[in-house]
Amino acid sequence: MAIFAFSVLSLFLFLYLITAAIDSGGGALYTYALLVKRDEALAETIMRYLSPVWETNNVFLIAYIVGLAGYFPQVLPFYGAAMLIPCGIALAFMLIRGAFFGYHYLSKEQNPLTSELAAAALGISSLMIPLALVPFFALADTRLFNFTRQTGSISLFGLISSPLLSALGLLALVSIVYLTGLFLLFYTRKSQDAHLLTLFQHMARWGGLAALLSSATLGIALYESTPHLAERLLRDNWLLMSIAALAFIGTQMALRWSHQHWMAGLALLLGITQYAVSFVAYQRMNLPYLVPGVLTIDQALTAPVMAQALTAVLFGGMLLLLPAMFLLYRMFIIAPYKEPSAQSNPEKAVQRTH
Amino acid sequence: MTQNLLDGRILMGSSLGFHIIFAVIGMGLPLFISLAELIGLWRKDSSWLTLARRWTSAFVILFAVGAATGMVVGQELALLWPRFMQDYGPVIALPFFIEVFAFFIEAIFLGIYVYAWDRFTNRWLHWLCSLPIVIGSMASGLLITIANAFMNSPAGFVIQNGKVVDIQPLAAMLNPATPTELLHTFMSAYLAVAFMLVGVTVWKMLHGRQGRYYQNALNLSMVVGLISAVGTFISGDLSGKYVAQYQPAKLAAMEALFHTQAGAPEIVGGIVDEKTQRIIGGIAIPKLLSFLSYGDFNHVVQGLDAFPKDQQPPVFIHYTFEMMIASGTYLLAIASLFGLSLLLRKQWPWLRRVMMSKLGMIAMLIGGPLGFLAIESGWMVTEIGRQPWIVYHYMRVSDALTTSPYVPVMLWIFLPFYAITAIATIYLLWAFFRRRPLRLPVEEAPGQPAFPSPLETRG
Repeated sequence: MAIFAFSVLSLFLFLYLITAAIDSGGGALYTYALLVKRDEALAETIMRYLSPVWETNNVFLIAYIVGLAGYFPQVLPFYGAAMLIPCGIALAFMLIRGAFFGYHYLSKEQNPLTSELAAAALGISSLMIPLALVPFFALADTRLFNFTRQTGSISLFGLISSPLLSALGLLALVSIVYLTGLFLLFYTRKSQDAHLLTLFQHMARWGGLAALLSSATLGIALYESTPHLAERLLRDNWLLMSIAALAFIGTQMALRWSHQHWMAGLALLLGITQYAVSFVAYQRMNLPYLVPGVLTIDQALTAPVMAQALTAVLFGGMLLLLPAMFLLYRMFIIAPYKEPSAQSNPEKAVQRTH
Repeated sequence: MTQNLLDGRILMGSSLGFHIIFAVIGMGLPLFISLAELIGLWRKDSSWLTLARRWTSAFVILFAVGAATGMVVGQELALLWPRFMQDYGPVIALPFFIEVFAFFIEAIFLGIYVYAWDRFTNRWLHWLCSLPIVIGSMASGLLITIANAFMNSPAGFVIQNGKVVDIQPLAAMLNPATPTELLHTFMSAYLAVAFMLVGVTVWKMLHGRQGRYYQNALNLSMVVGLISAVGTFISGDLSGKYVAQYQPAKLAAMEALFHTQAGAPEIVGGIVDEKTQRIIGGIAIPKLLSFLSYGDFNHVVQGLDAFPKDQQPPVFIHYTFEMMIASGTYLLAIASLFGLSLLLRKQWPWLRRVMMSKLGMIAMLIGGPLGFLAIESGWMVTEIGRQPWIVYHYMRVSDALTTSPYVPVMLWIFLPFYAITAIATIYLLWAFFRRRPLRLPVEEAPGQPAFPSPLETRG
C-alpha cells in the first residue's frame, strides 16, 4: 500500500511538473513576446492556450499535497516546517499569477503602463513558482535541510550555496524552455505561421541539448552532495536512465521531421517520456525515505482503513476526472483552431476594436 | 495563554476569516450564473445571458484568489497544528481528499464554460457545463465543512492508551454536527452571495443605471436571497438545538448564560458584565432560550457555571452571535419586503415604489456587506465557542500547537500579505468592470413593463 500510494502521488506530482513547466514557459514567453519582441501573434497564441487550463493544472499540485497529507500524515511537520519559506514564496507568486490572469482582459491601450507591469508580473511569477519549489527535490542535501526526529528546517545560506540546488534550478529552467518549445510546436502544428514554428523548434532543439547538459551537471552535483543517492541512481536505475537517453534521441529525431503534424505530437510524447522515466528513477533513488534519514514511507503511512478509503475515493474520482480532463484538453489543446477567438467572445471582440 | 498560542490563533483566525469570503463566493455565485443563463436561454433573452457572462468574469477573478488563499490556509493547518494533523489526520483526511476531486471538476468545467461560450452549436450544452460548477463548488465547501464538524463533534475513532485507534472514516464524516453545519453553511452561502449581488446591482442603480438588465439582476438575487434567508433561519435554529445537545458550553457562552437555570430567558441586547456574571440591560424574553434549545419552556439550560473555568469559551462571542442574528434578521426582512413588493405589485404599487426609492435602495445596499458580516460573526461563534478545544473534549488547541519559534514571523508576513491581496482584488474587480461597461447586444424593446417579475412567463 505504501508503494502504491507513493506511486499515485508521484504521478500527480509528475503531471504537475509537466503542466507547470509548460505553463511557466508559456507565461515567461508571453512576457518576452509582449515586452521585448512586441510579437502579438505569439502572445495571443500563448494566452489562448494558457487561459482555459492554468487553473486546472494547479489542481495537480493540490492533489499531490492533499494526497500526501492524507496518505502520509506523519510527514507534515517535517515538510511543513522545512518548506515553509519556499512554499510561502511559491504561494505568493501563484497569487500574483492568478490575479494577472483575471486582469488579462484589460485593454492594453487604456493604461499601457499597468498592463505592461501586469505582463511583467506574469512572466516573473511564472518563472519564480517552479524555482521556488525546486528545493523540494533536494531534501537529502544536508547543506540545505536539517531534519531531526520532530521537525525540519531549511538553511537560508544553503539556498544560495548548495550546488545541488543550483543544478536542479538550472535543470528546471532549461526543461521549461525544452518542454514549452515541444508543446507549443505541437499546439501550433496546424498553423501556417512559419516564424512561430521555427521559434518553437529552436526552443526544443537547444532546450533539449541544454537539458541533456544540465542533467549531467545534476549528476555531478548529486554525487558531490549526496554520494549515497548518486550511487543508488547508477546502480539500480541505469536502465531507466538509458531509456531516458533513448527518448531524448527519439525526440530530437522527431523534431527534424516535425513539419509532419503527427511528428510534432510524437516529439512531445517522447519528450514527456524522457522526463517521466528520469523522474521515476529520481523518486526510486530517494526511496524508502520520505524524510531523509528520519521517516520511511512505511512509517509515515496512515491507518490502513483510511488508506483504503482514500484509494476508493481515488478510483472513483479518476472515473469522473479522466473524461472531464479529456474533454477539456481535447477542446482547447488538440483542436484549438476550430473557432477564432474574436468570435468566441463578442464582448472581447468589442474590446478588440481599438 | 502563551504568546505563541495567541499568535497562532490570530494567524489561523485571520487566514480563515479572509479565505471564507472567497470560499463563500465560490460556493454561491455559480448558482446565480447558472440560473441567469437558464432564464436567458429559456426566454431567448440575451440580456440575461450578458448578465451570466459578467457575473462569470467576476467569478473567475475571485475563484483564482480563493484557490490561492485556500492553499495558504491548508499550509497553515499543517504548520501551526502539526499534532492535530498527525493524531487526527488519519481520521478526517477523507473529506479533504474528496474535495480535491470536486475542485478539479469545478476547475475543468469552469475553463470549458468560460472559454467555449460560443463553441457549442446547442447552447443548452453550454448551460449544462455550468451544473458541474454549481455542484462541484458547493460540494467543495461542504466537504471542508464536514472536517470542521468533526472538530466540533468528534466521531469515528476510539482512544486506547492515549492513541487514536479503531478509525472509521465514514463515521468520522457523518458525525452529529455534520447535518446542521452543512445545511446552515449551504443556506448562508447563498444568502450572503445573493445580497452581495443585490448590493452591487443597487449600487449601479443608485448611480443612475436603469433598465431591464439591472432589474433582472435585482429580482433574481432577491428571490434566491429570500429562499436562502428562510433556509438560513431554519438551519440556524436547528444548529442551536444541536449546540444545546452536544456543545452546551458553547451555548452558554454564545447566549452569555452565566447561571444554570430552568426556563432560561433569551436576552436581546445589553452589555455582558463578566465581573458580576450577568447581562446589564437588554430585553429579556422569559423561557425562550429553554424553548429554542430544547422545545420545552422549562428545560434546564446549562450556564457557564456548569463548566470548569478552563473549559469555558470566551463570553464575548455573545456579541458576535447577536451580530449574526441581527444581520440575518435584517436580510430576511428586506428580502421579504422585496418579495412582497414583487408579488403584490398590482395590489400594493406603493410598496414597489418604496422599495425602489432611494431609501429602499440604500436599505438593500446595506444588505451587501451585512451578509458577509453575518458569516464572519457566525464562524467566530462556532470556532471561538469551541475553545479551548481543537477536537472537542479530545485535544486542546494549546496541545496541538507547533513548537516552532517562527509563529510570530509568520503572523507578521501573512497579515500584510492578506491586506495587499484584498486591496489588489478589489482594485482588479473595479478596474476590470470599469474597462468593460455594460453594452447590451439587443436594445430594450419599447412597451416592456418596467419591473417584470422573474416568475412571469413571456409569450
